[in-house]
Amino acid sequence: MIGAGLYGIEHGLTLPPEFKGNGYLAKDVPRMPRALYEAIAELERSEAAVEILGQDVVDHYLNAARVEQETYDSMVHPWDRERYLERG
Amino acid sequence: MSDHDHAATKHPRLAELEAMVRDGRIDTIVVAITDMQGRLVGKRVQGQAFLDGVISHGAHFCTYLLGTDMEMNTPEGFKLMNWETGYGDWIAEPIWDQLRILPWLPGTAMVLADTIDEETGLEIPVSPRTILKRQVARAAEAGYVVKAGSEFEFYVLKDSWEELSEQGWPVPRTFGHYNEDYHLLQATKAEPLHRLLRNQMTEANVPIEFSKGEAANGQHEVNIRYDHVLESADRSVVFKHGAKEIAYLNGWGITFMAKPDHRWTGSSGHLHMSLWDAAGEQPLMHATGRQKPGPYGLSKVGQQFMAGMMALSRELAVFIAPFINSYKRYASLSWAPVNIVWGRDNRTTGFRLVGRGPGLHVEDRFPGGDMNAYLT
Repeated sequence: MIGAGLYGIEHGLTLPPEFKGNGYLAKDVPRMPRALYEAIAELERSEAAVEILGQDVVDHYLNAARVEQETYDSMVHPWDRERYLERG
Repeated sequence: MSDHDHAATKHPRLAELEAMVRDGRIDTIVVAITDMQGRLVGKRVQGQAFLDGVISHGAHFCTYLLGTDMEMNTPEGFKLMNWETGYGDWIAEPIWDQLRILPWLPGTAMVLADTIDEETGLEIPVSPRTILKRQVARAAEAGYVVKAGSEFEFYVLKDSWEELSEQGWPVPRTFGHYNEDYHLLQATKAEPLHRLLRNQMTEANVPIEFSKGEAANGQHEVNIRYDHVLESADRSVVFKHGAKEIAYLNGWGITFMAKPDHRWTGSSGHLHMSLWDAAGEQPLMHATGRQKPGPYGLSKVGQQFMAGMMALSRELAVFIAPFINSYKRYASLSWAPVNIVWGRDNRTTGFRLVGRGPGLHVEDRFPGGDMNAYLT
């Protein structure tokens, strides 16, 4: 996040207006990725990440995130059996 | 370097440790690096071997420790470490400023280490601590110091990790049977643990400000005193590791995972951050002198710093929320943030502006208890 903050200073970014009220109901604002998949896709396309961290670091952590996602995707969880074992 | 030169340049903390090993107060030295998952990994060095110089050139460790997953597998795809490279060794070079005597482990000191390639003498670029050091250096080049303070939430459990493992990881039984947010009576029930955490951590140079009950059954929070961001991150990794050790050694279960159950409030790792001048003496988040103040007295550079964090939170989410489970915490109306907006003292926004005047700073509410402080 320090790198991101410095990026904001270097590029003279403008702070969006304050959000007042219940932030969960904010419309037309960016939100955090809903899942690791989305975060991986964001990092894959990020030029800022390469500028801040360097390509080698980005590639390394992208690989770690993909390994995490692929491991999860290959697992069958208790939830799967609860939902599908009898009714599926 | 001759022995004479070495003696002349010896770090005062190293000399202190040698004296403690000689007089028998310390017999075990833990040398620890932080892996990608934020865990401490390393070796325990026997006291006499330490005096005999076994780590005077650092401790060897297998390169795979910085290219593994939670299960310590050897996944493919890492350029720096793979079967083709033969998984050789790197060096963990002790940082003697980060030496601690651990009150919770008898006769034991711990020193954090940087990771070095012995051939080139350079730090390993993908090492989490090195990544943070490079950002600190970038900030210094731009004339800034960043300070940070961590807050960690965690659940205290009635079941030990072993019991949960034997039972196939059911939903753990929490310590406490009602929401204990700021609740002093409920917190008293787990006070034997939290008193140890506050005092032993402070004794180990991880100064704790306070602990409190949190927003769910069995959930607690501990706040660590803010400092320069590298020091703050060092404290955070020692805190998480040490809290697990203290809990385990005293018969308590504990978890920092972001969302232990979908019905539970997630555990956060909020990060309070502020920008300072190059000497680290003048806070720069608020406008001073002839500067035109922004909202709540924010300086221009303070606004840009926040704007940068907001602009890149999505792209850098992998570094803030590294696991599958991290994202399950981002649930609406759950106290964990969802949207990348900021607000004045607003706990429903991802970035919460708090403090006033020189104390004005921003709290990033996105990191979970599972975060790696160096990467976040």
